[in-house]
Amino acid sequence: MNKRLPLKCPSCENLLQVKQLYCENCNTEVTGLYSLPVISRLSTEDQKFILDFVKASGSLKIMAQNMKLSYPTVRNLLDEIINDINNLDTDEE
Amino acid sequence: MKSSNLYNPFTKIAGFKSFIIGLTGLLITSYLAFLTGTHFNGLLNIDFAKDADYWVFLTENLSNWLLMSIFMYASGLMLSKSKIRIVDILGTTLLSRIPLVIAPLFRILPVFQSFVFQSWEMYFIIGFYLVSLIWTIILFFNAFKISCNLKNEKLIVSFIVSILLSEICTKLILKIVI
Repeated sequence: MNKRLPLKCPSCENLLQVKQLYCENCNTEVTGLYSLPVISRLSTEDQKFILDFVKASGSLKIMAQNMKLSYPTVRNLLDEIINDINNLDTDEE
Repeated sequence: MKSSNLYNPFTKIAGFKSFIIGLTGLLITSYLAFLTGTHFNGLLNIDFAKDADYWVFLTENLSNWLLMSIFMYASGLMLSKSKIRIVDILGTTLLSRIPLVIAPLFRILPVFQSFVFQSWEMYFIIGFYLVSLIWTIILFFNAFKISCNLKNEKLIVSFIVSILLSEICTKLILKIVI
């Protein structure tokens, strides 16, 4: 089962932060207060799009071929992700 | 074939591919229009008269498509934040015109080849034209939306303005050229 990373507090809807990290190999635990990186706050589909885009060397043409979609449709998807990232950046500030 | 492909094929086809398919469609439509005497004097107008050469019918179709593309491209450049490509607009608007082949195609049938004014044959052809026109406008809208990545009020207002301006300019140009 793929567990989804919870992003918002189920109680107050505030953005969650990382308090603890754990090493499965040596059982080391790190405690602190870390913000989630912007990319992890995007939807799973958007994260997959970004990874595929990097693997396609940033070529929208290759992305369009792989996704069997037209070039402007893929460009519009990318622009929506850019817009979401900009909004997340603004929220952070 | 998915029904969405009938009114929005542009999520799958755009650019040069749509340009080639659409151009073939436009040449066929113009040729059938020439054979049957079906004039497209702008997008929102149809007339019947076997009174001209092939180039006249071709000019009618070409001018309306080109002007529509120019106004859509200008709207996209002014209003869209995306890097829009002229080949997407030219191709998708060409592809959008394919349903306009319906009226001249039906006029090839012997029963519709010649008819008197206000006869049932004439109303049938106008009916076919209206169906193809609505279909074409829906396709134009989706072509514009995807090619220029516009939404909400910007999309609707600039689409209506583009249609109206291209209609007015088509009529002016056809008056001068033909």
